[in-house]
Amino acid sequence: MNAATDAAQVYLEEVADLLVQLEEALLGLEQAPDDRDLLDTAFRALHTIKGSGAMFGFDAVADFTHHLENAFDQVRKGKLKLSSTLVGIALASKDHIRALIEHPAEVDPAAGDKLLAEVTLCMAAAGRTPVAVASDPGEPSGLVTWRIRFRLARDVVANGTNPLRLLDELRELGPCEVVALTDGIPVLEEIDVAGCYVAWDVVLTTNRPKSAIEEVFIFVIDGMELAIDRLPEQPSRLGDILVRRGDLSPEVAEAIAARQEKLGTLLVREGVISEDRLRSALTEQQHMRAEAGKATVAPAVGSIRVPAERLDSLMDQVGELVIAQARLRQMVMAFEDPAMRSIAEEIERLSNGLRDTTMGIRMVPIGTLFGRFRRLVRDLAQELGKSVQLTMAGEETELDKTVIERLADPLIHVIRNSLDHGLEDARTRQQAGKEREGRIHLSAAHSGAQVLITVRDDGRGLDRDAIRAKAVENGRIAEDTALSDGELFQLIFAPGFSTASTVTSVSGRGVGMDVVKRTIETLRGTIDVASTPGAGTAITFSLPLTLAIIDGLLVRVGHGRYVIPLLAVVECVELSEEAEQRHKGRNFLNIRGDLIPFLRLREAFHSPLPADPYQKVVIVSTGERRIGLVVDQLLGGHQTVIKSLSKLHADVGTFSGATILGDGTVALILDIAHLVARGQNPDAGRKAV
Amino acid sequence: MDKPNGPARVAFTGSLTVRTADAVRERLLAALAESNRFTIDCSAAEDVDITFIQLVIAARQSAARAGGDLALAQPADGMLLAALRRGGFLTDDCVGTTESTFWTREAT
Repeated sequence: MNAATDAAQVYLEEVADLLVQLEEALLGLEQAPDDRDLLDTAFRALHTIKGSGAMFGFDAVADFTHHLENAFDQVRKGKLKLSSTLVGIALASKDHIRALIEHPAEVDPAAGDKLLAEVTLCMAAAGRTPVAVASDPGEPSGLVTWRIRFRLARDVVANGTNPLRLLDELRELGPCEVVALTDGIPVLEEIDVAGCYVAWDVVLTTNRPKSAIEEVFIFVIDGMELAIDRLPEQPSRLGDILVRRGDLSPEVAEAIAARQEKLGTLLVREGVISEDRLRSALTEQQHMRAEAGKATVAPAVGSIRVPAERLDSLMDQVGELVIAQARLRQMVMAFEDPAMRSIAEEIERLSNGLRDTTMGIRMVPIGTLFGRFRRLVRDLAQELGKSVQLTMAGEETELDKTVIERLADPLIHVIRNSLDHGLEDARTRQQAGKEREGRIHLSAAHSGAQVLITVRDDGRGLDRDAIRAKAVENGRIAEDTALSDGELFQLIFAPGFSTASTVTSVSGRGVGMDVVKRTIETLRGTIDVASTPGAGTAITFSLPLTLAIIDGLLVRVGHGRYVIPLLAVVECVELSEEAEQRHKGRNFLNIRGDLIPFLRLREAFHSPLPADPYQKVVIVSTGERRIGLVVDQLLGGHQTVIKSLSKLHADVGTFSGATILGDGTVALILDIAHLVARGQNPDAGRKAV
Repeated sequence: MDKPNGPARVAFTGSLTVRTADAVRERLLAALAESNRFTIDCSAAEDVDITFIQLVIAARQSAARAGGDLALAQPADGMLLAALRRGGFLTDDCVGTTESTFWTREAT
């Protein structure tokens, strides 16, 4: 790949981000048209798309965006009111920009022209009815522009300083214009070859404090002249700049301004100032204009873009390291050498840290995903003629990047269902005594080793009877089967199951929910459905935090060793002989007054060995539900690098994966959700296995 | 100095820094003594610092004072151009003042 296509690729990625920002800002503006920050965000996004578009040869994008940017500029200046029409046009334009970038060949230019015509219309309409918008033009950025004028001591070069290096250091602080003032240089006959005669004017825009600039000169401060002044934020007229610098007296400036001639040329011709000084002032003016024009293009945040594959390969390597470290630890345990042991412990500590950091890098706040749904809900609601308010909570909850990516489709499905089937139309809602506007609430929260993501609506709720009737009709259940609500609702995830009597463009075809369930299961997650008739439905996805490495509890059952995810473990108790006698055949354990069912893994795994005399019970939980797992021995903690099972074993429910132990053998990882479900309903479990 | 009809030409090569500044000044003075109209060729410069730039500007002033002119044999490039930009002697887009065109125009 050559540099040009590389740059274009970076542009494409950048624009993808900017379009997302733009969309979020626009949707926000629809709710709060006076929000200055959102307006600035939208404007900056447009400005950058245009600017870099022109730079990388996406001229169609740049041209189109330019007009939209103009409109938003008018809004920022208070000359144009941000109507919902304009937001609508802007949203459509955003899609047009995306199309221009992704499939330039297929875009209909007429569509773009039509949008632009609408923008123009909006602006023209506003021209007739000027609006007064109280706005604060102050950009809340930490960027300040400084003018630094300095002359170094005559002997700095002789003392080993390279003045050019000092200028480089200034440039490192931010965008910087340097102009050398050479009028101090004498004629050749009088010059001291090692003397420094040049003075410099530097205009620097930086978010660093003044002290950072002073620090550049710290080693040459003796005998130098240095003036650091803060410049006003708006670009000034040339005359003002020269007067402020003391290069020109105000009287002369006035007199010349009266003569209506280009100030710069005139001053030099008249010999009032030197060419260098004019050049320096002009440079300052240009720098200020450029900086003001940028309107603080998103102050560079300390982040970089990394291709996802690199993160994946980093994660793989960390996984291998963790396995190797486990082997080292096992080996060292066999020796009694304290020095070796301390090194092994150090390496363990480091590899744990490396693992946590690497996993942290892969974590992305779920807000990035939620943000996309605002548009979806808006468009769908319009299409269905419903009025819907979308609220969100817990956007900052972080999840593994891969999990987030794969969550998008299932969530879209569930949200669509809520909008289409769940929420009633305004009239029905009113008759039922609810607010006309329906509500959909998206939330995310941590719960132990899991993240719970809930889509809740305040619609009509699931229709138990219809689901039941449909299930009977499909032959999924017998007419007299007794099912709890939870079990009944799980039926909606069966393939081809839809109770919707009408098929809309949105949903009702009975495809989808089974795909949702499958996707969530491949992420080792579960789905819970809760619904109250007339009050709404909540669908909750419980997902593991990560798919890569977990802390596990290593246990032995018979000959085999198994890993239980540590975050699922509540406590470990001994299964006394006495207790076993007492509860014979009942498989319940009394833990501080609570009856907890337990499962004998020896029986479940058909271990032929006789049980150990002192068996242990590991109490595990998912959400509210707890069960005990009876094992022969607790072996201790284990860093578990999860390897997925082969396709052949993909439907084995009891295990969610495998891992490699320190001695090179394989241990299976128990699927706690599955075991809990089985423990709660042992008969069904037995049938299923 | 080898061309009888055109202006004399002085070529500077290698490192043109504070270490060689004395020699550069001597050569410029010698060229000035011979004629107040000459060109200098820095295209083979390997390293340029501020002292060399100052010397060229000083020599230009001396030549001008003697009623002559000093020009670059070809527009500044390579190490010289880089040093001019780093030092702010040349700015990208600035008006074509004679100061900056001196460095970028070809000798006539």
